[in-house]
Amino acid sequence: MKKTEFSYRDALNEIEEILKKIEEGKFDLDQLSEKVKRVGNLLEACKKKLRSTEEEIGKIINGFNASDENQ
Amino acid sequence: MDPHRSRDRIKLSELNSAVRSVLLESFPDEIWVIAEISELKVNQTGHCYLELIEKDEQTDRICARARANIWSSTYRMLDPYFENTTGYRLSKGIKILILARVEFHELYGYSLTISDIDPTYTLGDLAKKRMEIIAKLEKDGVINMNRELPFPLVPGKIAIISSETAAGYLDFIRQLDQNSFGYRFFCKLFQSVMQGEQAEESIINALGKIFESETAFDVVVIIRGGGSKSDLACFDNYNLAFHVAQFPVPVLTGIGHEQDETITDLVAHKKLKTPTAVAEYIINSVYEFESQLTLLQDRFILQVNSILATSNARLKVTGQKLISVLIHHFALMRAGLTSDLSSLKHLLRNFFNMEKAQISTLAQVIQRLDPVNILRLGYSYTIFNGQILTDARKVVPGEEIHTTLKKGYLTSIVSDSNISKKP
Repeated sequence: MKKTEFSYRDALNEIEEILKKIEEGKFDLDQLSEKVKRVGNLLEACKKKLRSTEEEIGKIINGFNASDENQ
Repeated sequence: MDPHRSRDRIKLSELNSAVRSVLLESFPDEIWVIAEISELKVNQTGHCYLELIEKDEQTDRICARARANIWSSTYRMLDPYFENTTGYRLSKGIKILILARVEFHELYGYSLTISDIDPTYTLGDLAKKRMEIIAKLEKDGVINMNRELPFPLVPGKIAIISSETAAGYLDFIRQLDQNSFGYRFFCKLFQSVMQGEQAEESIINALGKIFESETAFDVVVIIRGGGSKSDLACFDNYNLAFHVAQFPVPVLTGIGHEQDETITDLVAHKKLKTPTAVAEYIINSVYEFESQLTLLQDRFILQVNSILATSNARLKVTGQKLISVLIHHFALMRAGLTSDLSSLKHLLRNFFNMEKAQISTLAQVIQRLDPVNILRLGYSYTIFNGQILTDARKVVPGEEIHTTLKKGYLTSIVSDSNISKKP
């Protein structure tokens, strides 16, 4: 059996990590807007994936990676 | 004895008859016998015919065998009684304690006629067997393996071991598809026999296919609709439990029974009562994950908002400082302006005062220039044709002229006009 490309666990870990740093006040306003975008993307990707079929998931992952590159 | 003498020979029927009387003499009463059912048939009239065996405990080989029957009038009562008490039907593989009469029929030979069964023996035997299997799984170190696997955050890809036609399978699919949250699941059925002797091999086979599959399944579910407990005997199997326990993906069972759990249930990651309950469990796991996301999202929004609020507050304070500085600055500037203005005013006043002085001088001059003042001195002036008359030659005798004096006016008719002499 193969590993899936998009991992909920990874997404969750990343969100938690960013949140922790935000709570520790490690970002200035400029970095913050970047992180807000990133977390928004992660949350959206997770929630969309829960409600998508296999084919749709592929699209989401692609879109998700594309939006990463834009940052 | 001489086999050629008729006196020393008997017919088979005579022998059988003799055996029968000896047996009856030896076993005049019914006796309690422990045996295992190896075959069981019920004919059209409701009589039950069994084959009973005994296996050697060490070698597991059959060391004794006997035919038995339960007449329909007895079977009609014993069968439901046994099933109600043990949860199992009288069937192959079950060990029983029977009250039997030893029978011998010249034509059909030796058999036992069963009049009663003690189900508590069977219960004890099953419990003993079950404990032995559990003990073996423990000894093999596999019993907790599947249970200790982490359950996936989102069990979205589901491998189903069931029978396509099973009601439980359809219940499961329907429950998943109609979840109220709109979650989507990827399900794949791995067909298997779900009861009887073939179930063990069939299910182990299906597990193998799932393992070799291209898809990374998050969870395996073993489901079937409800059945009698004896249908579930296949799930109390060491070999099956051994495979389920060691499967590298969490296994959920929903094999449709309310009472004691089977050994397969015991080693599975989670045992649920019905296929529908398995579906609910999966949906709930996803819901819990989403709730976790929502919590994180709320915390995140709260944090970001608080940072923004702090920044805003700081900006406001800075702004207010700036404003107060500006106000101060403007105050100074205004003060400057005010003094400028007053000097300007002063200047203007001076200017105007001077102007006023000049004007009054001019006014005086102008006043002085008013012809009235000249008239006061006795001078007068004359208007002719609307103009002040300054040249006598402009008037010929007979014309009318108007003279203004200090007091009053004169209208005169010119009698003479002469430029050279005074009158």
